[in-house]
Amino acid sequence: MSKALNTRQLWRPFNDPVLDAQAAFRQIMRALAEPGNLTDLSGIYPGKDQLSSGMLNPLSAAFVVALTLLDQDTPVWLSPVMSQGELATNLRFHCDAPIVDAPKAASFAFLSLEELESLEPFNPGSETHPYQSGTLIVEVPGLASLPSQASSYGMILSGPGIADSRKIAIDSIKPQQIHLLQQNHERFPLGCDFLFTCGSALMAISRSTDLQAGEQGEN
Amino acid sequence: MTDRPGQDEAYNFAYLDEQTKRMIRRAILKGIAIPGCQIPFGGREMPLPYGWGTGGIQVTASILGPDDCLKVIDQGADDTTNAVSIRRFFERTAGIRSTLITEEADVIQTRHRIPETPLKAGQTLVYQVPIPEPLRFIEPSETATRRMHALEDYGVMHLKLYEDIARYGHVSTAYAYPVMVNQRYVMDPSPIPKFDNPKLHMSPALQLFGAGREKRLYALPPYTRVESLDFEDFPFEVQKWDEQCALCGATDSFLDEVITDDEGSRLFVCSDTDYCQKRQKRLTQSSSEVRKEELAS
Repeated sequence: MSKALNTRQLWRPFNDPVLDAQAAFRQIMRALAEPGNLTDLSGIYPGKDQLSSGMLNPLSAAFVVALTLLDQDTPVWLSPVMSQGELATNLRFHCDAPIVDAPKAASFAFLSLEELESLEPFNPGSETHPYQSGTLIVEVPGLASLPSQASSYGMILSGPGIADSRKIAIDSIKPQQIHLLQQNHERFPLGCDFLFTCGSALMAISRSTDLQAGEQGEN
Repeated sequence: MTDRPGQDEAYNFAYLDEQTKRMIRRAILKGIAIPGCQIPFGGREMPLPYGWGTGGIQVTASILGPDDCLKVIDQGADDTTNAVSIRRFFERTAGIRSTLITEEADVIQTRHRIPETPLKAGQTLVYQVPIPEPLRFIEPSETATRRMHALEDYGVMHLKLYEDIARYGHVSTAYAYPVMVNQRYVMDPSPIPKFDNPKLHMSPALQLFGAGREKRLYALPPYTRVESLDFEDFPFEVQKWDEQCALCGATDSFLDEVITDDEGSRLFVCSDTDYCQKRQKRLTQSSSEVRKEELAS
């Protein structure tokens, strides 16, 4: 039995489904091509501060990723936290994406940072088909791309897309989770790709990105 | 509906439908995440035959935006049939601006050359690729080449280069010279002359490769390590010329040989027309400045 759709739960889609999707894709593509670079999608799709109440979408960057990349060909898995809100309704309505129960079967998975406990449930692709892997969209409490002279930072990234190295910070990320990202890189070319979102902000860490836990300075 | 001056309204923006673009965009992201790995995509029938850049066009159509400025080159030249028709295709279907000047372009679609002018961060170079699989000429089976990539079983590539050395005394492969990407995947850089191979390495621009007939794409994110395969005692070398460009005098660019008569006379000219014309303009400017100085004194 399917429930009747409550239209009040629907977030607004792109103003222009063609050109906004293109602009969003270019930012997502740049983000993944330059891991650790922070990008803001509020110019394409308003963040929660810019929206009037009633249409409040706290996950604007994650939703922009969905509007840009998801359709009937992309099985989606939602974590328990992500299943609580209106995301599922909106993914079904706007993207027509099938929502699956098994994370392994999903080409895109939406979760919150505290739910990132293991990569075991997700599909890393296979040796002969490493691209048949899942992409994880992880909503985090805070994201920062830091200047190279920063003394306090969460992680230091290097690898393709990064000229030398890049310092970043993800609020509330645990050492075990950083270790998960390192393990993910170690099994390259297998692995998952990460799109970290925070409101309208987006930062990517690809499976090709080598990362070291950072220094915690005085401030 | 989007109304753009110059865009033919019979087509969606940049020709492809949105679902196709999404599918290609997802493949591009996978290609970027696994540099040098070939990603299959559902290639569409394009309004031009295979071999004319259908792969490159589909990649370009999937990334192109209304504010982008597009440059298209064919063997370095902006004014050949292939380059002109692809440029006009996107002017018509996307209403975008186009340019002949490398520095002005946001997206450059290329057939078999990398521009001489160094690319900048933020630019995207889209290659047209005939055969994306570098191992194909050695191993015709797709299942086998797939396994070879999985196991990093690339000995045959070195063997092929070694056979060149054994037979001719040097590596005779002059174009589509195989490269190792990010110390993991052997990749065909498309039939660019090996002269251009060093430009692939740590390029600040994003490089995307599209093969229409084979329905594969692959990518090099900016600042990716790209090494041409070689041997310690036979290090990789690029072509060199004793001649200089007959039009601009360049000694540092890739030169095409042009036969000028039936007697065997010939001259060499830059294959990159934009680079050559810029140099010619600078030459005439500097010579007119010299003349002015002579008049003044």
